[in-house]
Amino acid sequence: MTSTQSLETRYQAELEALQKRASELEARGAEAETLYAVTQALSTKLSLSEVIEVILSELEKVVPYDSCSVQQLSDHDLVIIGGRGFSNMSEILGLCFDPSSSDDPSNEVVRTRSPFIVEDVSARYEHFRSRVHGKGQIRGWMGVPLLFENRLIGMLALDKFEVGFYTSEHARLAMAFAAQAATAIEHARRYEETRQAKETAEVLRAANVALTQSLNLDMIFDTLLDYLCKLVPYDCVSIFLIEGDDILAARAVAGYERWMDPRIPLSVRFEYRKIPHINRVVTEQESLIIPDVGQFPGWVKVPSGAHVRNWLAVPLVASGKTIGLYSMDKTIPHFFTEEHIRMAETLAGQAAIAIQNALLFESELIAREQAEKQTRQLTALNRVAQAATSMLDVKNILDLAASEMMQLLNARSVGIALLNAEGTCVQVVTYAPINSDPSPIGLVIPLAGNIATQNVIKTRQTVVIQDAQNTPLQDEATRAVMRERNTHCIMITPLLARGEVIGTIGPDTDDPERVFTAEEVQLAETIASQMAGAIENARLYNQAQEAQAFAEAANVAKSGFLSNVSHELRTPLTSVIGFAKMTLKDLREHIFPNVTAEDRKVKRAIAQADESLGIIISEGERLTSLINNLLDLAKIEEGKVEWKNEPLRVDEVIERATMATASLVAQKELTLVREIEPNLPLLSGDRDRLIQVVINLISNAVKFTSQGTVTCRAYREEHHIIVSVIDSGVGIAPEDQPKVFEKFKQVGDTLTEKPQGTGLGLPICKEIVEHHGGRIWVESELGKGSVFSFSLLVPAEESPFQE
Amino acid sequence: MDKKILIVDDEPHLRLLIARALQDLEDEGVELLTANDGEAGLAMIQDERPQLVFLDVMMPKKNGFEVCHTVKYELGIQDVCIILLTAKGQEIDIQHGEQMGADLYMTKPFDPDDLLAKAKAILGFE
Repeated sequence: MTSTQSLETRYQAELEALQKRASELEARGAEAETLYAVTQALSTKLSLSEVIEVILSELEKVVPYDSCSVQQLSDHDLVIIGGRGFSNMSEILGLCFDPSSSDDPSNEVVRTRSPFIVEDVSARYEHFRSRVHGKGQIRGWMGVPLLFENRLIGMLALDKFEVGFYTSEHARLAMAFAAQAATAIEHARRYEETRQAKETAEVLRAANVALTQSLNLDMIFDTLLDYLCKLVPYDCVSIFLIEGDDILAARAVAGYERWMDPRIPLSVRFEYRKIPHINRVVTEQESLIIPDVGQFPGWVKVPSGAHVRNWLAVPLVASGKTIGLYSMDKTIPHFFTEEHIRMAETLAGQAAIAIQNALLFESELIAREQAEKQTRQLTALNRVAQAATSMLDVKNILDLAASEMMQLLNARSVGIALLNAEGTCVQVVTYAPINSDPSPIGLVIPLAGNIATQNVIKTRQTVVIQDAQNTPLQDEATRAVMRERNTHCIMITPLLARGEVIGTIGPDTDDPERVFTAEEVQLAETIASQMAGAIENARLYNQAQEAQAFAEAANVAKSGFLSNVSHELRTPLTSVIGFAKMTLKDLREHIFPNVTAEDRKVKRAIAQADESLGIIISEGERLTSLINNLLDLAKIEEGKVEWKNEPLRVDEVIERATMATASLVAQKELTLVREIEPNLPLLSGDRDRLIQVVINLISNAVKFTSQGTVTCRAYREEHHIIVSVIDSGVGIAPEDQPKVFEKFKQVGDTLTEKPQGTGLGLPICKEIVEHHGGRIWVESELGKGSVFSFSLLVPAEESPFQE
Repeated sequence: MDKKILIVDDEPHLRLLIARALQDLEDEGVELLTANDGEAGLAMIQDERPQLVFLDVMMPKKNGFEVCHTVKYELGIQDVCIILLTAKGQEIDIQHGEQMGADLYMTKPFDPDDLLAKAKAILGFE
């Protein structure tokens, strides 16, 4: 029985042992199940916060706690990245402490990389006593290291309000759990890191694409700000660009709306060299964080920076040159991290290139626009200048200038007004656009009240009136016209001719924003000066033309007058000469023979009547010849003479002339000598007129010679035949010689010396000789006589006289 | 047959001068007629059929050229000798006169003896 009993006992013991093992196995199974569930849960969670959440909730199932924190080792510090059971959770998260330097149980965990149990932390560690965690005073404490691949990545700290709660069994379970947790945390962290890096890379890549897509500076700034806020969570940001040598000017801002009108930070400009920390960012090309501006001695307080505590600046560097910077701020001190700087710098590198390109493009664009504008201006000016020199119609010049100016200045209209002679008003003479309806052309604008135009005329300076509808520079009537025409800005440029204002040229605009610039004023003045010159030219030209037309009309009138006068003179002359001749004839034939009176007085009266009538007749004939000469000269000058071109012999011409003048020569008891070279060639020309020339020359010679001979000589000299009439008369002074061939200029004093002849004989000779391609001249010595000669060209195919 | 000479001139002194110059012919029985403008002259040529006409060029109503042209070409009167008295005396006028049918021309001022000689020759008095 004993054996039965002992067997029973043994069974009993074995059973108990088995039961114990079974429950132990059950516990291990549950434990394993929990760990498995943890592993499962952890392996499906990838976000760090979710992983921490799972760790804390699952840990509680395995190892009880009142509060628990998950701490990550970063460099030498432990940072609380998660927790449960704390009443001040938000304060605790992110809390960072150095375990080695403090009197802290964590130190033991980090040092030994093993679990560490404290019976009563509040009793043993001073600072735990003052700390309130959750609902009570922490007494029991256990720290468990988080090891991943044999590397300490952090720890779990479990707290209990009970003294001496944690046992080595707890430590064993927690260690098993911590192994899974460490793996999960590390994976999540790495994943997070990769994801973040990938996200950053994605943002940077997208930023790069976006930035390079535009050459418009404002669009680049917008893009930059868009992406920057994805990388660096700032409160406000300002983008500055360097202008000139030492100015930083804000070009784009964001985030200021919470504190102020964004136009305030946007208007910030300053000399960066005067602010050392900013100067450093620019010149050293290094980013700078000011963790707390309140602690920074060099901080410059500005209205737009009143809210700032934490400040970060990153230089914008392109092609090794700083072109600006952007600064970001936070109302919280110590916010920005090295990581933020790295992001901001990466973006800054891309942004700087885009900004530089845009600036280059902009400057090139400006340069090109400038060049194009300049070309347009020069072309227009050239057109005006060309017109000014080539067009002589003032109206056309003004029209062209007005339309060119309208285009160049992008004006609404351009009016040109000329000042009246009294200087009391201007009248609109040209208006662009042409065909405006109603057209202001012809409009008379009195200067009284129009102070601006008065000033322009007085000072000869251009005036630009910006607010034409309200300007005190004009009277109310003018302002009313401006309102009616919706004119906002008007320029009045003087038109100067020989220093005098002759009118004004006035471009205007109907755009309230548009004001004529100094450059445009200069342009208008250039056009005005060219135009004034053109007007002057045209005026002179018209004057010249009028004078010429007048002269031509006068000449026609003169010729007509001469024809009429000669007719009107001949009619009474015909009567005078005719009746005188008939009376003389009657007297001689019928009266004188029948007068038988021997009275001396009667005989004398008969002789005197005969002589007087003879004088009347000869003077009448002289008058007739004067009239004939006048008429001849007028006809020749008018080109109305029909010239004959017939073969002629010089000896024949001289023969006929000497015959015609024989009676004159005989009257003065002179001798006429002919010296004609034999075998002179045949000439061609107008025989009668050449005879007239020789007659004139012989008549003159006779007239001025009182005794001796008059010689008429003809001889050949190379290709010419020279005909000379030589007298031994009074001669002509050298200074008078050129005058003898001029019309109505007789040599000598016409008041004291009775003029002989008409004074038209030699000018007629000159016309006739020159018509034959010859030349007429005089050689003379005062008191010794004169030689008048003319030359006639021998034809190329000469033929001798046919006898 | 009655010999007739017509003097057409708007200047009374010239009509008188020409008439005086032709006084010898008048003594010979030649009738001297006068007209003081072109139209009157033309009418008289048609009505009186003179053998000789001294015709001034520049006259009111109808000038000498026109009268001459009408007589010679439009009316076809050929048995009349027309002597144009032109004050202009220029070739172009002379040519024009010849084209208009004038037989002779004399320029003012003329020599009364010359005028008489021409008239005598034309009318056959020697």
